[in-house]
Amino acid sequence: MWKTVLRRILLMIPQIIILSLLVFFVAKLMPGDPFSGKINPQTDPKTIEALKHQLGLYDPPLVQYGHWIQNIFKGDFGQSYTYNRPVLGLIGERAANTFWLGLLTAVLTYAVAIPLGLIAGKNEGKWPDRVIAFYNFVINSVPPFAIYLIFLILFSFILKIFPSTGTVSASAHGFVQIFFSRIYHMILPAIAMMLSGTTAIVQYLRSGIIDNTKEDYVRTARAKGVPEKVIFRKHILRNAFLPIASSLGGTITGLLSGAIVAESIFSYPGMGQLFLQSVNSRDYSVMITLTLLFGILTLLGNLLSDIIMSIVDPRIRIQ
Amino acid sequence: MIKLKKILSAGVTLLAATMMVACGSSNSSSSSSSSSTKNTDTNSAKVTFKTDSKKGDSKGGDLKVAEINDTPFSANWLPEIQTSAIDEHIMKWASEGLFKTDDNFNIQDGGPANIKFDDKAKTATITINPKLKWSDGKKVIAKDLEYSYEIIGNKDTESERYNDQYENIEGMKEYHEGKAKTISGITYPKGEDGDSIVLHFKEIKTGMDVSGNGWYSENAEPYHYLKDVAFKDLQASKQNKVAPLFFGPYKVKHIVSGQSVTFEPNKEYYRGEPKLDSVTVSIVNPATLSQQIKAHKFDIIEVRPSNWKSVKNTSGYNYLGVKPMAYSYLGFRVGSLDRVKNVNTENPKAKMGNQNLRQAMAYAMNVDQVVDKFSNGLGYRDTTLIPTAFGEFHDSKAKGFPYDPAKAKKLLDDAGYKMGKDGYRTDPDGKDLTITFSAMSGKPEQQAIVNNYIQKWKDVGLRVKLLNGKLTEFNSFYDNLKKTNQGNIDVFMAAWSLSSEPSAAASMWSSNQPMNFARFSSKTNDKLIRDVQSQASATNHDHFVKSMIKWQDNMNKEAYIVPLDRAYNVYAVNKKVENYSRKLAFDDYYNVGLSK
Repeated sequence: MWKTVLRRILLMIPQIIILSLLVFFVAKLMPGDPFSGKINPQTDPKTIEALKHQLGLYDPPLVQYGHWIQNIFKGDFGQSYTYNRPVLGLIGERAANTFWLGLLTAVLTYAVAIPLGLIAGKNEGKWPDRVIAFYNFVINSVPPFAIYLIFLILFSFILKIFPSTGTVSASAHGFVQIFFSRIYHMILPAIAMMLSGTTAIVQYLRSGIIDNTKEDYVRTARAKGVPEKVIFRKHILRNAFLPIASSLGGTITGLLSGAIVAESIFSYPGMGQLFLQSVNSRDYSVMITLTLLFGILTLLGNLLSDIIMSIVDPRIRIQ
Repeated sequence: MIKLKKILSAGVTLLAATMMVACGSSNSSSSSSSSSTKNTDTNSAKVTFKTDSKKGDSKGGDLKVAEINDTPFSANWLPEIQTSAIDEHIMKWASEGLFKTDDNFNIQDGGPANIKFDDKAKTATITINPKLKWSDGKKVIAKDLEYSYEIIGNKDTESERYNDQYENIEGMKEYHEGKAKTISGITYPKGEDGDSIVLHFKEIKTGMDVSGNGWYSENAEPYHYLKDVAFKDLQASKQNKVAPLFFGPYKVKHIVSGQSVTFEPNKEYYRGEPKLDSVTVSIVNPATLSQQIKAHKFDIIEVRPSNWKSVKNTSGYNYLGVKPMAYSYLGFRVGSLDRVKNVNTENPKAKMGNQNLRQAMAYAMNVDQVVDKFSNGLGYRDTTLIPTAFGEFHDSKAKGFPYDPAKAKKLLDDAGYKMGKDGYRTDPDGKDLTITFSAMSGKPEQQAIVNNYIQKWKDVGLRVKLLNGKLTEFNSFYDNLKKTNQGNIDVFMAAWSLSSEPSAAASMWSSNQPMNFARFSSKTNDKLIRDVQSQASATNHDHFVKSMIKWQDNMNKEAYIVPLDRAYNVYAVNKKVENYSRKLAFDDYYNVGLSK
């Protein structure tokens, strides 16, 4: 199997090169440039022109692409035009914020969704199943941004339990205070994102359990007198988890790609918010680095999912 | 505080507006639909505001200030390389300008430094207040004043502040181009460690005694603290981004990247220790603005017009407001720009070259109605291109272009734009006339406003179509305007924020300005601008004022640029806050206090 994994990784190289070309040239095709927004009667257009030349924005696109790739191999992803600092440091800072929020959200999501799915699946058609189905129905029909806004208004402004903005309080000092302040700031967005993340998992797990209960091998095990607990754990649950496992790779890499809408609403400076801003202000270096990163994360996520599947499901083999 | 930065570009502001929408601001309430649409021709807002908070001498307390933006701040704290108005607003608690001003931005003695002009010798002498120290306790010296010019002038810093105006200082151009190691036009009468520098100008210019004039730097930078940082590394350096050094009343205690800055008193401040124990400025998402105010989370927080209705009755706040130095305008695109000579030339055959047509379009627009409907009472129609915030420089007698469709029709009839059977007029040669209009997307109400204007133009018989049938995204919009040829735009709607020095607000419309997006060239206009910039204006205040008034009258007559509307800048300020003001020239953060 590992040979195949290696081959898949090697195959990713041309994919990434094509992706980088696409990302770079499509970004350049967008109207405007990082200086479009900087018009002001006191700023001399000549100064702006000179700066654009200095920064190589007038070089032929292929030359610019060449420079960009060359610098990437030196570990230099360029400077952000908006923040006037190296892209890598900027993304690193935001990635850390996004990662911890993503991790908390993922942990909460599984911690809530799995028990709900189990209960619903085990009690098919009974009242707990119906309550959970109702929950799923409601959450699934409300768009996530509405949930975020409701949470923000309810818990932050009306009940004033949680902060409405940022990752850490301005008055927090020292490791312990900052640590708890960070968690405190993450709880509200994490719970809000968790809600909309649970529905699919609950549904998969519920139907997985119900379907597997009717499988031949379960009936066989029952006929052989295997204890019901063992049947559930070994035969039903393990198979019911397969669809969830198949999306696990994406979930893991998704920890880094952030959530554009949630981060904007909760003013949480993570990758999603940075991406949106870089597109709006034509901050090319940040925009293309992030797009490339998201692309690579998706490719890796798919590979990871396949590997996980092959481990948990002996019927699947990566060829 | 650097008044020059007060102008920070319309672009930045507009960009912020664009982004606000991009994020789905939930608070752009539709409450406007309930407001009346009655037809008035008043030219002022329905409300008036106080500019100042109460007086007092309370000591202590922690002040919480909100800075409205939907993205983190970029943290360029050095004024010379700052590009964002947000950064500037946040840092003004620590970064004080060199010169004290009155309410009209006239520079006065008694601040951190004094400036004295010698019209004959064409010099200015800047003398540092002997008590002035950086917040690390080191004295502010002559070299610190000069270093600001090096940062602006050196190409490696990529400063956007450098422009033609700085080349009026002897030797600045040579320094900028790398031909000279030092700026020959800046000398030290008492040495680099002394208390003064002399600036040698090629000419004394109009408005040099008004803050924000742009002819010299109004900042100093701590040379001892920055000298080890190469110019090319300055932007990304910790001295710029993490631990900047200033001489203002507060100093940076700690920065949460992109989110908040906490200030503590600067014990070395030249007027003594300020009153508050701490000031925390935090970035707040515009989508949550109304709720932040209702929850009293901040002591000082901006109110946007779309939020005004929902928050104006919140108790505990004083609402301070001021008319900004900014306007939006309708521009008629009539020529092209020669980039090499930097000259705009009007195309004699331009569709909008007819003065009657331009005036008619202006009179046909019902700006007052639009303001009434969409600004929640905070907006007003501007009557000239010098907003009232400029005091005596604003022509208070001017009426601008109040809604008058009859007059518009007459102007068109007189100029030979005959009404056809389809309800639209033809041009004087009898050909079909279709006018292409470009407006920026961004504000949620923009489409409705644009449709209203197009309908009003139709009412007087003008066929106006939106460029590509829709609003144009911010970046494309300005890319189109910056083009040197006329392109396919006949009319456009844009906005400017202005510097606090009035002559710049006039000279930006001369035919040799690339930012003259109308690309018009009028001999009368150029002559009037030359008068504004003349030595007579530079040395005689009355002449300056009169020349500005004449210029405004002519601009309204020629109507290449038609002033539209603007809204009050309103801030909710906790009633406990003392000695704070929203006056445009306010810079006295030292005295701001918080009562118990």
